[in-house]
Amino acid sequence: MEKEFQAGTHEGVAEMECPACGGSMHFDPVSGKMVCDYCGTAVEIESKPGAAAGGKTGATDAVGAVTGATAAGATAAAGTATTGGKTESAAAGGKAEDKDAGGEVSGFDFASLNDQAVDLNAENLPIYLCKSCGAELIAPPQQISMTCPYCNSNIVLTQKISGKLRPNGIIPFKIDKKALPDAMNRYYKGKVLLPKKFFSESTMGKVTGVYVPFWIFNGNVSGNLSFHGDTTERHRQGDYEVVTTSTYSLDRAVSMAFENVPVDASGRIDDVLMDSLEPFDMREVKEFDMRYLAGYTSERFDEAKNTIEERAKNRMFTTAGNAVLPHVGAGYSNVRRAGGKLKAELNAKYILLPVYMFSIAFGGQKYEFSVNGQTGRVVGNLPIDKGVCTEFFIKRALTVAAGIVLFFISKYLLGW
Amino acid sequence: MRRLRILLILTVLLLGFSLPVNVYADEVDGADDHEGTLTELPDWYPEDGSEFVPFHDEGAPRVTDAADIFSDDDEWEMEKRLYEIRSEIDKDIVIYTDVSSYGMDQSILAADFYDYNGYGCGDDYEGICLFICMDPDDRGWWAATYGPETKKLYTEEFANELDEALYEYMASGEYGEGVKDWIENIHTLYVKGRPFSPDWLPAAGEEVERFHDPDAPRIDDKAGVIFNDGIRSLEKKAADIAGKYDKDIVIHTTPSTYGMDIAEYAEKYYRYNGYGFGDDYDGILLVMVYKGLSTSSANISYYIYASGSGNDKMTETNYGRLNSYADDNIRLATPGKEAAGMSGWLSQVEHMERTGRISRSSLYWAWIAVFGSGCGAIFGGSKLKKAKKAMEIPALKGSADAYLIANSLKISGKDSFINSHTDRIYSPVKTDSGSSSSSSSGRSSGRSSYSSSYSGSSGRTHSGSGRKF
Repeated sequence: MEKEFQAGTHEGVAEMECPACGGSMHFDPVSGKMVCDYCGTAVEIESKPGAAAGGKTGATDAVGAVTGATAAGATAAAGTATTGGKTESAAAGGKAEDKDAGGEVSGFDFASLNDQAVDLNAENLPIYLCKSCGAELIAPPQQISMTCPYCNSNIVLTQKISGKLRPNGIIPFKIDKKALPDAMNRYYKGKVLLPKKFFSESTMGKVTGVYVPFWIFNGNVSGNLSFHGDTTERHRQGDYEVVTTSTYSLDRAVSMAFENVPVDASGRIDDVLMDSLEPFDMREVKEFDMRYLAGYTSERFDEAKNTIEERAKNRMFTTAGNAVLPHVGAGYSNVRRAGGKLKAELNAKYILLPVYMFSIAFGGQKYEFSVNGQTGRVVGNLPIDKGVCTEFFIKRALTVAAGIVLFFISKYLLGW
Repeated sequence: MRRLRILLILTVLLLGFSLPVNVYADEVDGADDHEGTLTELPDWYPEDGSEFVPFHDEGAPRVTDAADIFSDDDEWEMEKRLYEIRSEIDKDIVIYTDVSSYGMDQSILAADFYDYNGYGCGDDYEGICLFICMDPDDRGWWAATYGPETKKLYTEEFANELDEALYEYMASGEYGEGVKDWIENIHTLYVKGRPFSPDWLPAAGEEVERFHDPDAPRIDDKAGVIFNDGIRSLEKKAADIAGKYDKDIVIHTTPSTYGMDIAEYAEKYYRYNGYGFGDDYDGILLVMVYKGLSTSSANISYYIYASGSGNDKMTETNYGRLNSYADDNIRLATPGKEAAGMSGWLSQVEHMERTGRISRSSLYWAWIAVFGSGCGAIFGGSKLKKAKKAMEIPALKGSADAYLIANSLKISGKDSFINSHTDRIYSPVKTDSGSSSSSSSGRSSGRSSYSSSYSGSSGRTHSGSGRKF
């Protein structure tokens, strides 16, 4: 029976309580509902599509959304008032320069955030009280949700998601934790260099579902790029070949639009790992509701603004350069970049994306894995056995060598 | 007595006045002023050559040694031989030597000597005249031909070969031997259609019935590259193979193919020397040509000829492999090792007859193994690299390609000229050298001069060639 969900709060702490028995509830990715850990009561979450993917520049969102079409733009921020209105946010502070010839990012700001979005001074960390058992809880500054280690209540630290810290959207977990072993087995397929005892001796550690904070960028990149290209003309004069090489300046005005470029906003989580989990289907972004966090660990953004900017810009400018080059070079040889400047007008959404994290222990070592909580994509480093490598190499080399020798023997015997 | 003395004086006086004027011409004033002066031209030269009418003079000597470079015996031998040739083939060969060319080109003088002395056989006056000029300032020779048949045979290629052979004698002063040799070569040219021809080659146009000659040497080393021991062991081996497979196995070395294409030479050598077993003349022949007796691999060529059942196992593959073997082990053999290479080649033939294919050396299989291993290592390595990559986390994404909105890319711009530079690269166009073909009246290039058509003083058209020495 679905009953109205009640979220009890106690000084910035919200606990997901079952309306039937008062027990702790968690978000179930399989059903998409809140489910009671004790009586199994399921409660629907009335969700709305959140900050959708492909957001157009200029869209306003729940929390300090950026209008990127103009030079104005303040983004979701923490604590301090937004500057609002027009800001020269990119102009102020660090201009993001194109590696080659200068570029800039405008329209995106953390609303006057300082370098760090959170204060990492442990002495100032607030203390939370668990509503169910009264335990005193201290959470890392960036942690939004947690499970009480004493009574297993699922707790959301509301202060960290209120006001301007409230995420624009969330992609709820779609894959159940219990499906992970199967996902791992599928992942192991084709991984031929695993040690032979890996499957019998490896152990999967505790799986933690984490909502990882991302900034999802939409926007335009535009600017002028310069290239040099050559044309060649040849003709003969007696015993001489006359080659005339003409160099041209190819000046191009370019513009292109991007949508849903994700940039990992958590300094704690490895960027390479998060990159590898892409893509996330942004069409499934829902309006943020803290009930989705129940049963999972969540974190808020804590990356410095410059870092985020730099990553987003680099990815877009690289794509811009790669996309333009084939069009520029038609009719010319030896096309090379000669300069130019790009700028990016962006807006960004603060979205929480679902990721499972766990480790696998084998041979005295731990191998970290992540799983995309929406698509089930698995990434991680696996152990490589040298003996298996050698056997793998020798088998294939011998097969090819034997095939070649057999071919020549057949050729000889059959008199080809 | 008195009457007798007067008679004697009158006789002496009469004889004195009847002598040719030119003997004393240098003592007579004004004699040098005479036009068409007999002092400039030889005796046989007519006073007025414009009214020349061809004639035959069967009694004219065929050897006129005005330069006195031949011994009496040589001169007599030449006359005799030239008479025999004339009787045999009805072609006139004439030899003329002199101390000067009398201010004329040697080619003209040769032609005039032939025309004005009634040489030539038959209605076409077929023949050839060799003029040797011993003028110290202009020593050389010229052979002038006349008659359609002679002109046709006396090609520039054959002329060069004949002059090349004659030059060796002339340069060393062996004039008699040189001319006698030249006469025989001209005879061979008339009889066999080429000046240098092996003895076994029949005359041009002659029909020779095919025959078997069991006594013909199966290892015929005309080039002299095999030592005696080598010949014996090769002959034994060839005979064993021939007996076992009922095919004639022959190896022939030669310094020349006598102007023939090597394939034509091989076929004729096999045919006209009586090789081959049975009605189909079954057999296999290897011809090695050591041009000019040179052992430099650049001057060595080879050809494999098969007849009758010799072709049964000679598939295209086996033929290619036998050729490769001959190339690697005989042509490229170090001097003195040719016999070993030929023995190996015979072994290949035996293997082919026995199994239907040519055997491969151990080195060949070793290379195949190395090649296969190399390919295997490259393949295995690339697969291993790919497998290792699959075990790792992919590298950090450096681009946002997947997030570029389709059709949002807009590019516009303009191109403007900056500068240009020009390079001139020397790259001459290769032209085919080709053989220098003589025009109808031109002189050819090379050490011999050749003319396919020119006119003597009589107006008759000759061809010929010559060289200085």
